[in-house]
Amino acid sequence: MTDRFASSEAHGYVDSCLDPQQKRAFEARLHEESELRRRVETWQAQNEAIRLAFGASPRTRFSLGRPSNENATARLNAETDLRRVESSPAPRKAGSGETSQAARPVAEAPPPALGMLRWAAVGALAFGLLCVSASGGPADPRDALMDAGASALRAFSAAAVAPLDMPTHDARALAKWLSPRFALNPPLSGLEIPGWSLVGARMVPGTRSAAALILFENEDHVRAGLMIEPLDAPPALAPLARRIGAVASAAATEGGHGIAAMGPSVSVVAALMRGRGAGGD
Amino acid sequence: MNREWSDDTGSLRRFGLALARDDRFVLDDASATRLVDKLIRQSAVAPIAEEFPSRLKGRARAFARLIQLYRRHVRRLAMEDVEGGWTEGSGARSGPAVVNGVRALPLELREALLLVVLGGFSHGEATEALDIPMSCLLERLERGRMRLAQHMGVSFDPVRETNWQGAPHLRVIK
Repeated sequence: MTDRFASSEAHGYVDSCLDPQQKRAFEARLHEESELRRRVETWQAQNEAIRLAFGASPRTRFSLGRPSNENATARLNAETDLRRVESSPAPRKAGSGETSQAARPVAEAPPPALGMLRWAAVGALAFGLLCVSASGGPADPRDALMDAGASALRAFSAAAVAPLDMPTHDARALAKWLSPRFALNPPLSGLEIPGWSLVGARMVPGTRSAAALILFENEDHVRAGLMIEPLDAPPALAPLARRIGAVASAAATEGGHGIAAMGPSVSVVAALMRGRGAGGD
Repeated sequence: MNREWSDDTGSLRRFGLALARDDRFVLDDASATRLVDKLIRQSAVAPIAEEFPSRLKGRARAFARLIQLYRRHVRRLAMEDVEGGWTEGSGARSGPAVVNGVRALPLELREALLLVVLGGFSHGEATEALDIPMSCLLERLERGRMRLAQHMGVSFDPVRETNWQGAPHLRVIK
C-alpha cells in the first residue's frame, strides 16, 4: 500500500466517508502506525476547530440530491446522536453507531486526545457567551419577529391591494401548500380561531429569510396574522408580547421556526399562539 | 420561495462567509457578509437566468453556484488588482489561529476543505460540486490540511512536507 493511498483513506476516515468495514480496517492500522495516528488526530482536531470557529454544528452529513426535508431530518438525527454520545459517560459499544445510519456514520465518540480539545473549546465558547450576555447580550429574535410580523400585517391588511399567494378558507389545503416550502414541518395545527375565518397566506420577508404570513379576518373585515419563519436552529423561547402601535403582537421561537402572531387585540394574538402550542398568556 | 437554496441558507451562508473572508480581497467581516449575501441572492437568480447550467440537484447545486460566483468575483478583482501591486498575506490577521490559517489558504484548497468540513459534503459529493476528480480533491485536502497544520505549528514527517510545500496551486495564465 503506497503512502498516497494510505493518505486518501485517512482523509476518508477523518471526513466520515468510509464504510463500516473500511473504517474498522483503517482503525486497526491506526493502532499499529503511530505517525498515521498522529496525522489523523491532527486532522480531526482541525475539523473540529474549523467547525467551532465558523459556527457550524459538529458532524452533519448530507446526501447529494436528497430532498431537503430528508436532509433536515438527517441533520436533526445527527445532532441528537451526538448529544447522546456527549451526555453518556460510558464508551459506546463497537458498531452501535452504525446501525441507524449504516451508509453514513455521522456521530462518533471522539478519540481520547480530542476529548480534551473539544471540552476546552466548549469552555471557551461558554465563556465567550457569558461575556456577551454580560455586556447586554445579543438581540432577542422575538423582537425582530414581532417587528417583521407587524410590518407584514400592515402591508396585507384589509386596505392593502397586494394579492395573496394562496387564498383559501381551508386549513388543510393551506397546510398542503405551505409544508413543501419549509425544511421542517411548520406548526400549522389549530388554525381554527373562533370568530375569525382563514383568508389565505402569502410569502413575506421575515427577519432572516422568507416567511409565511397566514391571514385571518373577522366579520368586521379586521385582519389578524400569523407569521412563521424557518430559522437556523433557534433556541426555544417562550412567547413574548408587546404592542406595536395599534397592533398587539407576540412572538416565540421553537422547533426550528420563529412564530409571530399579530392582531387588533391581545385575545386573538393569544389564541393564535395557543394554536401553536406556545401558550400565549 | 425557492426551495432548493432557501432550506439550507444557514449552512450555505456559513460556508460562504468562511470561504469569502481571506487575506487578499475581503479583509473584514462586514465586507464578507455583504459580499456573501449578494452572492447568495445572485445564486438564487442564476437558475432563472440559466447561468451555470448544472446536472447537480438541490443543496449541492446551491453550493456549486455560490462557489462559481465567488470564483468569478475573485477573478474580476484579481484582474483589477494587477496594477495595484498586491502581496500575499497583506490582510489584517486577527482571530483564532485556525481561522487565520483557513483564510491564508489558496482559494482552491480553501473551498475543498470548507466544503467537506464545514459544508458536510462527502468526498463524492464534493467532487461533483467542485467538478474535479476524486484524486484532485484528495490532493487539495491533503495540501490544505498540511498547510493548516503548518500554520498552527504542527509538523509531520519531513519527506511529505517537502513534497507538498512547494506544490503550485491554481496557475495564473497571462
